[in-house]
Amino acid sequence: MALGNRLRSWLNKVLVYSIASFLVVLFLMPVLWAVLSSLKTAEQFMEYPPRFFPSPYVWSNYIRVWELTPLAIYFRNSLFIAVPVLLGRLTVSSLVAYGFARFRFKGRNFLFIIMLSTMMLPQVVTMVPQFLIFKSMGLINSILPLVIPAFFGVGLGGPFTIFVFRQFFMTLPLDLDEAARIDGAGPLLIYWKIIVPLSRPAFAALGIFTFFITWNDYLGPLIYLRTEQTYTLPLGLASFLYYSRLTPSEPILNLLMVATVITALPVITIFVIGQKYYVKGMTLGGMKG
Amino acid sequence: MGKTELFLKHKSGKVLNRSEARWGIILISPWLIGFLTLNLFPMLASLFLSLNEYNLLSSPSFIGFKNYIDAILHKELFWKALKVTGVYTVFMVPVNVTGSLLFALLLNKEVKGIKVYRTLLFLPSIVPLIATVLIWWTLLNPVYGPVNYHLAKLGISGPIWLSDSSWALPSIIFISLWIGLGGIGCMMFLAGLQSIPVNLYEVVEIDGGNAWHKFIHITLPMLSPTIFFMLVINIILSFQNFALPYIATQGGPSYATFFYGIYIYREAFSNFRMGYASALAWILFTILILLTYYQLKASKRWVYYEGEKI
Repeated sequence: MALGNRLRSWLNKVLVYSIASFLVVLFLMPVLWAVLSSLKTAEQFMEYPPRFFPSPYVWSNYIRVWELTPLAIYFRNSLFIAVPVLLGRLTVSSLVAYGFARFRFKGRNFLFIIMLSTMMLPQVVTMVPQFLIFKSMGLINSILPLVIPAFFGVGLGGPFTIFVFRQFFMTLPLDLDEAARIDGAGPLLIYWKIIVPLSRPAFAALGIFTFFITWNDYLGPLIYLRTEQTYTLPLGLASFLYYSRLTPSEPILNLLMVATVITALPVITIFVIGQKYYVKGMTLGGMKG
Repeated sequence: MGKTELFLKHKSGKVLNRSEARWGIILISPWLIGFLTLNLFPMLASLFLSLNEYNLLSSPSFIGFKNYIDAILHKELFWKALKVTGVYTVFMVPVNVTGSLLFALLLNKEVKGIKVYRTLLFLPSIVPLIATVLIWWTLLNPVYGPVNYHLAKLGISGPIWLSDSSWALPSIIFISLWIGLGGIGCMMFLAGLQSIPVNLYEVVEIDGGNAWHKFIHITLPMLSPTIFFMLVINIILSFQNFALPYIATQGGPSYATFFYGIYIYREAFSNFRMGYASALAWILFTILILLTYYQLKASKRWVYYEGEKI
């Protein structure tokens, strides 16, 4: 009987590994193909019948793409948005969450529920008036409309970030706050010396989340960034696609794949490094939701 | 009475520490400002705009409910957009939720290295959308893309996918599933599965049940809040789908992938019919509220929350 059980558990394992491996191959084949294609020459890229492996591997594509396309500008613009948003979002959202979590005031729960319900607000409902507001301030074609909301706890992922921070802060014991208060520390000092150091996983997870959402954002930049000089990577790549459809300019298509890989690289790298925190943080937010 | 006094009295009647209340308000004030200026005001403004005609050049002119009536009664595009979005949602959401659950069940098995598989299957959801579109656009390219080539080897003459009005929407659905199946939904189900107390399964074993019983009587009920959450969120997001079809097909060919989000965007920023676009947005909002409300009502019947008196 022990043998039967061992056999069954071995079969179980084989089944799991087979199915999982099959799925991985199926799902990651396009990604692998993209990486390999980025190393092809233009002719091999468009070759028919299509080849999977480049020969030779044209590593210089990764250098040429910076020279032949505006990729550097797009990359820089994406960074110019992602970094300030990251800083603003983490700072402001955590402070707001701190206020919701540790301080009692009339209307607190009501306001918190209001904040939560804005998560359900479709972007399109506020999209037009927001555009008009920023237009009246002369901020069209600048990155400011995409960065300012992060400093006010709204915008892409804003309420969600506040929510997760607040849930996390509420799990921190009050004794430490109390002790610090007895020692004469004010609320900001308590935030800085006690809350923040203990919340590193939350900051890591939400930082990664914010970076993803900002780096990959398409609609926001589409609305506010009007000239090619201001385009972010998603916008710039999309215009590549658009132009390459109008005039299949062969020399560009394989470089397009290079640009694609370069666009995806930062977020993938960050995810692989920080996935432990990301997974914990997101499930914490989602479970309580 | 100063402003802080307003916030001082707790609903229990006790008077709170004035400094605590003041600090609380100060801390949430950035969000309060953001909410009022970038959420509430725009929301009301778009409601107002929806009752007007506004093209940026001249000031808004009041036309009452004409935008709404126009859309519902006269605009073929309106119903086309709703249909495309509806079909997409009806296919995407059940498959995505079920698929994510199945993936999670598989990835929850405690075999060595399963975490690597989880990471790998999560990657498609991390890849920037533009990259995903470019990759799939090339893969599905009828001229030099590998997909049709390999199909031809199997004797199947592949369609022109994203350029084919019958296959464009299915292609979009397929790409959406590629992105979504191993992603956040799967991750949430995983977390849910791991939070089910093991002794519940043991009870089923003692009663002589097998894996199927465990699934039906323990796993599914315990996961029902997560399933419900996934359904609601997925429907809300599906209805707002914009970037993928916009980049991949611009709503074509022949409006085959003309999602509601594309319709709104086009009316607002290509045709500059801000009033009409606002009306469209509010129609969408209403639909979503109604859908969420009905789902909430129905959920009482099938969602099991721990700690509830049966």
